[in-house]
Amino acid sequence: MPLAPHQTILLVEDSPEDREATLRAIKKAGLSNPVHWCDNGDKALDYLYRRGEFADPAKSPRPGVILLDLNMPGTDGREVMSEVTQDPDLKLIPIVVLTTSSDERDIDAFFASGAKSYIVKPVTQDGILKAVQRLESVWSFNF
Amino acid sequence: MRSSAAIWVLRVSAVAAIYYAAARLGLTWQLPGTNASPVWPPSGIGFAAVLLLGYRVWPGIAVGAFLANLQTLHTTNAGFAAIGICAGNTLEQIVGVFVLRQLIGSRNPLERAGDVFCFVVAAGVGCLLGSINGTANLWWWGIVPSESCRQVWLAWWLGDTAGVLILAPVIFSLFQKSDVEWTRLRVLEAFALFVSLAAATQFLFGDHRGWLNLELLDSLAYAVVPGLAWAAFRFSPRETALAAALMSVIAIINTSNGSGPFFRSDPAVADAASIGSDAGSVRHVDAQRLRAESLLMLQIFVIAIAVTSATLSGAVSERNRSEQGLRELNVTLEQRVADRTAELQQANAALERSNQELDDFAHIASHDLKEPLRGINTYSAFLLEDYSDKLDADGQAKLNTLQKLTRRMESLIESLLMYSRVGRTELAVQDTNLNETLADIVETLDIRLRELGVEIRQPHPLPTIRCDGVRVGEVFRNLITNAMKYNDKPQKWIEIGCEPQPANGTNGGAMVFHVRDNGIGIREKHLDSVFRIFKRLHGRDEYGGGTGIGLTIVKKIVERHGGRIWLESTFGEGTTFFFTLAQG
Repeated sequence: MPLAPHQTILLVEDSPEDREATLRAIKKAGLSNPVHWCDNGDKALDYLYRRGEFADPAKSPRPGVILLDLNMPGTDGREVMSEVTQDPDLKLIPIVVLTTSSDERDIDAFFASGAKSYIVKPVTQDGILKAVQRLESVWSFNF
Repeated sequence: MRSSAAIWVLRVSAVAAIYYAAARLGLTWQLPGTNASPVWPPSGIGFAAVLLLGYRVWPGIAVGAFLANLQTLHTTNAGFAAIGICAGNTLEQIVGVFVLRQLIGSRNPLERAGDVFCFVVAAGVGCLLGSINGTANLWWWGIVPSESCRQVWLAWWLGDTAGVLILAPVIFSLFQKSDVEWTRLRVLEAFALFVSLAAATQFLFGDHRGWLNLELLDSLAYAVVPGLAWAAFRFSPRETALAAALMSVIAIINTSNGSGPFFRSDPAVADAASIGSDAGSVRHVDAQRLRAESLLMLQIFVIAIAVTSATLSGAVSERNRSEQGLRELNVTLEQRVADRTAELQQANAALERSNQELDDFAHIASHDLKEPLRGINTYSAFLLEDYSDKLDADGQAKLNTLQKLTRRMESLIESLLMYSRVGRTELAVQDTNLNETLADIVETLDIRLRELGVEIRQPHPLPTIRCDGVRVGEVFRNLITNAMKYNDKPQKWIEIGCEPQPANGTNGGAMVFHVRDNGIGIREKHLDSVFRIFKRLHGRDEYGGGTGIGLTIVKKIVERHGGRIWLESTFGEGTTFFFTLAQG
């Protein structure tokens, strides 16, 4: 089981409405993991690298999964993804892309740039469950 | 002002001096037993002077002519006659040049065959005036008896005209730019031309009776004419005029020395004249007639040579100029084509950029548009979930409608995204077996086809074509889906086929595909608008709904492949969509 119940889910999402939908979907899917929300890419990177307000490791537990919105103001999801996948330590954290596009070519591009799974927005209970399933299958390949 | 007056004085003096010298030269060319020079060089000098320096040099001609005439005439009234004649000589050139300018304007008279003809006419007209005036003066002052007037006038007219025609072109062209490139070979050729022309003319006109008795030579004067063609075709009007002048001078000098084909004398006449008998006086008239004939023949010869050479070289330089013009035009044309091509390429690049920007805009804008829409959808879902116990049936129905509308809005935006994507992404072109593509599409539609009871007809297999298989699959899927949706017949069928496009030169090798149905058809007035984005012909929920993007995308895909799409339809009977794809 890649995502242990105690592991934090890092949700990187600029839209509060989308965040609400995602939190609700996580709850409905029966996941009780703590969720940390960052509303932009810079904060997400600070969290992951434990910089600034996240310097205290107790406040920034290493997430078990990153739910990443791609289109954000400032540092967007694509940059976060490229930094994370280039970091030898962080690249082990699976990334699930939150996308508005269900086009095959876009999704192929997400996987090519290091995403392990994706959810088409709005995030629903069903979407979360499918993504986690896909994550587990990818996970089992990796180990 | 002072210097221009000085220049004028200088020019007038020079013209007077040259004119006088030419007259002295002309007098040495008089045929034996006549007082007439076959060619009167001063008239050529005067014509060229007016042509080059303008009418203002007329005093130079007048002074030169007066002095020359004064020296020629030895009678009591020589002074009056000389004044009268010199006035005519001056007027002759002024009128000649005036007529020429009226006919051809300020153009060089030697560079067009037609202009050369005008030059001949102008010279003739001017000299006609001078010769009539001159003859009248001689008669008035009693120098020439009235019975000789006709002959004197003709010799005068032809002599002056020949002088203008043979000499004016040489002088005039010396002051014009020549486009002959004087390479060493060309100099050699010119040398060969002049030497051989001079030699040939001397041979035909010279006195060779002592060592070569060929009667035939007397009829061969015109054999020198081809030499003028040589000059005309290989050199400019200047060299041609010079060649004609050279030939004329050699012919005149020889004839005045009593030799050549144009010299007429009967030995018997000469003898009788010297005896001075009665018979002699009759024969003296004959001798005069013969000398007049000689003169006339020589004059006509010189005029013929001058006119022929000038016309030939005029025609040749005309041709050369138009060739040059064509070459320049060609170069200009190529330059202009290159310029226009560059402009078009720039415009094309700008257009591509703006198309790209438009597509990017549509992509980004629709992504941004979707976000708040998603929020509305999400929150109305929250409301339905969290407040279902507080909302009555009416409230819930309204929230459901709200959700339905947001979904519709989303599908419109999604359509826009799909459309922009067709323009934004590169085609993945490869050899595609369209038979397999079509089979895949039909398979995914199989359930709905069965539900609706639609028969797919494919009279013959589709070819393999280089194209983006996924995109062309979308074309077939869209057209088949439309054919399925818009059909109310009990026996529904869709026929898919293709045939080679009738070759019409530019589009050879393309295939025309068709998707034909026996559906509801489209009214003729709507045929043009079916490809317009979001254009639907039916109510929102009729015939299974839809956003009206399908055919717009289909058209864009076909056009991105360089093809064309069109349709034929009979309302109530069915529709056929045609599209072309290049086979290469």
